[in-house]
Amino acid sequence: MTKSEMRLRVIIAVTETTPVARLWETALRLLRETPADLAALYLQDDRWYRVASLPFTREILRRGGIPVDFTQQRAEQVSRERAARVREAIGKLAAESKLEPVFESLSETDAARLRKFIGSRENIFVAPSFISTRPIFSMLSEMNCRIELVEAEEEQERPAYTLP
Amino acid sequence: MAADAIQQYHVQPDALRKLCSLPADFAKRSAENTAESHIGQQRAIDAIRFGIEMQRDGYNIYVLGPIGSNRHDLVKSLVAEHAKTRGVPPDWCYVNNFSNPERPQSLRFPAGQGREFRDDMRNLIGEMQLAIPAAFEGDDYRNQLRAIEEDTKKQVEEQWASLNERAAEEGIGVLQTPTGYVLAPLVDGKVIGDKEFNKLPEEKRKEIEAAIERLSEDLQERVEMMPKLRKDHRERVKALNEEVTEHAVSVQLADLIDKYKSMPRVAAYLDDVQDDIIRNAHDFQEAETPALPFLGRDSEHLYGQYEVNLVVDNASADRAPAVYEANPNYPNIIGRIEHRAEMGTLMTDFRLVRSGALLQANGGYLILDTRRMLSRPFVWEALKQSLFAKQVSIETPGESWGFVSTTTLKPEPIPLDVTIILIGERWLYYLLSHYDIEFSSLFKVAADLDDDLERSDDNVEQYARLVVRKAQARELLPLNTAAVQRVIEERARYAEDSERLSMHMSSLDDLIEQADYWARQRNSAEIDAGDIAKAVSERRRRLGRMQSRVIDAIKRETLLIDTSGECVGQVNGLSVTDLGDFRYGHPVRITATTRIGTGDVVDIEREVELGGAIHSKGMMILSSALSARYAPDLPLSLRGSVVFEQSYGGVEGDSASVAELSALLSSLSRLPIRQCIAVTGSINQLGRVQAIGGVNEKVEGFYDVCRERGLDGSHGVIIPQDNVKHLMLREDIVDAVRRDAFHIFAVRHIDEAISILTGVDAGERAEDGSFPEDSVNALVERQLVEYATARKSFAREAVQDDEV
Repeated sequence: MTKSEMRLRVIIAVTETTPVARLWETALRLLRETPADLAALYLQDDRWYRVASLPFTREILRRGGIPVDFTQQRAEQVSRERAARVREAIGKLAAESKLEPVFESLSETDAARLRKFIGSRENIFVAPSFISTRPIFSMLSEMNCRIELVEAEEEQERPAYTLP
Repeated sequence: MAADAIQQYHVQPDALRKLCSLPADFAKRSAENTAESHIGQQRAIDAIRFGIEMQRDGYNIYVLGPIGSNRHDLVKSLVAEHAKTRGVPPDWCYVNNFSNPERPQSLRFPAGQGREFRDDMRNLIGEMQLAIPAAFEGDDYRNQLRAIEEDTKKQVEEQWASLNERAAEEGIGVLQTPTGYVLAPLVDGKVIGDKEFNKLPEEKRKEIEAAIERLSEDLQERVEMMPKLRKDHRERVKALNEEVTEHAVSVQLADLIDKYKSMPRVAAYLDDVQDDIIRNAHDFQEAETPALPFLGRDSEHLYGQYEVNLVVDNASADRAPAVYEANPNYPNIIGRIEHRAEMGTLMTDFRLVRSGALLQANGGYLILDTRRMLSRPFVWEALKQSLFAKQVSIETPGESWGFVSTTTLKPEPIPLDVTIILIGERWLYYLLSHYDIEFSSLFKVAADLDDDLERSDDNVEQYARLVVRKAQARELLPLNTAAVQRVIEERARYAEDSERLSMHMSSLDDLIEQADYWARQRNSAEIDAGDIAKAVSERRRRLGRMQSRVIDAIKRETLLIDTSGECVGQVNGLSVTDLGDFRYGHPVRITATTRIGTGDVVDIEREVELGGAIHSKGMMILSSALSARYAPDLPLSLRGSVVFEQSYGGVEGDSASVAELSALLSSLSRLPIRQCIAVTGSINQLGRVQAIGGVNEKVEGFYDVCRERGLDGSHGVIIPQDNVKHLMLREDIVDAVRRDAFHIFAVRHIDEAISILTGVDAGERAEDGSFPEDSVNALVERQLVEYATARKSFAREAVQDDEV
């Protein structure tokens, strides 16, 4: 076991609807208390794949025109775009604190990859409180991970219309 | 011919140089009197006055006169005099044409008000730059804008909320993708996939599909409604901006509209300004320098469109303008449209329209130098076009001639009311009159300046006063009376006529300025006659290198000129070489040979194309004179040839025809010609000797050669009697003649000339048709008869030979 593998790791666990800033504050506090590495774990929302698996799902375009099929490929694009958006938000916060967290993205139902990511290291997960109802919470609990829940509600999507 | 017979042809010393005699107190009196600036030009002055007072179409003026005739000063003084009587013309401005910015509109103002309007608009812009942003930054505006935004946002959110609510009722979730929306079935609030969906009862599945179908239509309608909401929002914001802007500028603009209400076009323009400001109110919110030059209009552009381009400003004028354009190129006359480089592109607008001399002179007079104007491309046609159209259209030559098709400005034409005064040489006037059919309809007034004026006592007095005044005006040393007299004499010499005075003013100025220099060189307080003489002689010396070379060549006998002895068929003619600013005379050897022939007199100069047309004409006339005078009943059986010896350039003029005929007569008569005498003059078919040009230079040229070789009292020049009045010879020649060291003979007929040249009486034909025995004419006729007889016998022998 190398020295770095033994070092404590603070992991921010975020979804596409997580208010990242609030979690970031908690993670910084932990880092100040204990020397640790920092990582960000993006939990992919599988709903895009689920909805794409339905034969009648169409995407109604904001610019108008004829609705188009919402395919698995399109679901993948949307998922990636959301992950990128979250990564960008974390990247900005990290740059302000002069930190360089590792970013990992995986499906919250993919236990094998989650286990591999956690490994044998000591991890502290900083996660939004609403995650406690999600399957990943029980998985992390089973893996004896320490979880620091931050009181937060899922961010509601506002109409994506901009005024002129 | 006896010496006393020759005496009758002598020109007396007093006639060789007509001296000027002014009253002794002239200089003193002249200082107290003003002098007429343009004496002797009354005809031209009347013509110019007529032209500038004749305010009708086409009465533009062409002033004909050589360079140095003071034509510019004359025109400017007359125009300045008349300009006082005409009112100050209006000001002209170019302003933006808001409905068509490529055609800037012109505005006319009473003199001085153009500048005032420009300043008013500048003030307005300054106030707008403060008032408009302030209005947009005010709480009132922000509150109203926020209210509109919130209202719109509320409408959007209401749409969204009601859709979400309805979807939730039907168990459907609305998901937002980056580009749109997806409707997904929910079970226990969670989006389900195909596996879960397929596990649902068929009826439920159909319900879900139907609900999604309905909601899709609803969502689609709402999506399509969004642009309208945006548009409504924009319009409300725009209306607010307009209201705020109008409120901010209306007070200032109202004052201006009231001030200029008596000028309908100006008032209409101000209305346009107000409409434009209000219409583009949004721009004033963002009227800051953009991050990148091409991303938006900066405040300079935004406010600049309300500036005023004052192209004609007569605010400080107290009379009609009189403009002289020294460089009459197209832009300087018509005007130009300038450009500025922006991001590698040339841009322009109404502010870069520049007026030319035509507009600057509008309502007055425009003075142009014809030669300069004609040498500048496109100017003449553009000028005529403007005069015909009575308006000035400022456009580039390329645009005017249709060479360029890129979009550019086309400013509204400005009405034109101007008198054009062209100043130019006579030949240009005649050229334009002949070849430009429009010229005479546009330039109906010709003001022809005289080159010289009569040397009457009155004119001499005025001219002398003018000389004194010129010296005063140039701050030269004063001229004493003797100096003025000498100037008058030199002006007669310049006019090549002892009875006239040259009106070439720049050469007069040069003369007195140079005399001033020489007077100062000897520390004199005044210019005297010696200084004038010195100025003349020094000038001659400065320019006389070529003349010296010719005299030197004669002296060294490279150029063969005999000034003593006698020779058959050889005579000293006289020619003048013109170097533009200076000319000099010198002798030229003319020889003639004769033999039996068919009546031809060959002009060798013409044969080798070195003789000009007038010279050839002179030769033909003398040939005709020869055949008309001698043996009229016999065919002219002569072959003569005449040549200018050692002449390697062109020969022009007929002033050598007396010399040429004299050489021919000598050859025929075998009488030698005295080489100490040179001869000049043209001849007509009847043997009459006629006046020629450059008589003074010719006499002086021969005198200088003879003086170099030593005057012995035999030397002289034969000139036409008609040229005596033109004599204004150098004083040293007059002295030589007075001392009998040199002679000037004036003749009227070839007989007189040949008598002097040969020393043998020419002889008059008696009633019986014969000439006196041994006279020149008798010998010539005898020779011609012999030629005719010999030719006849040759012809007979030739016929007999043919018969044999």
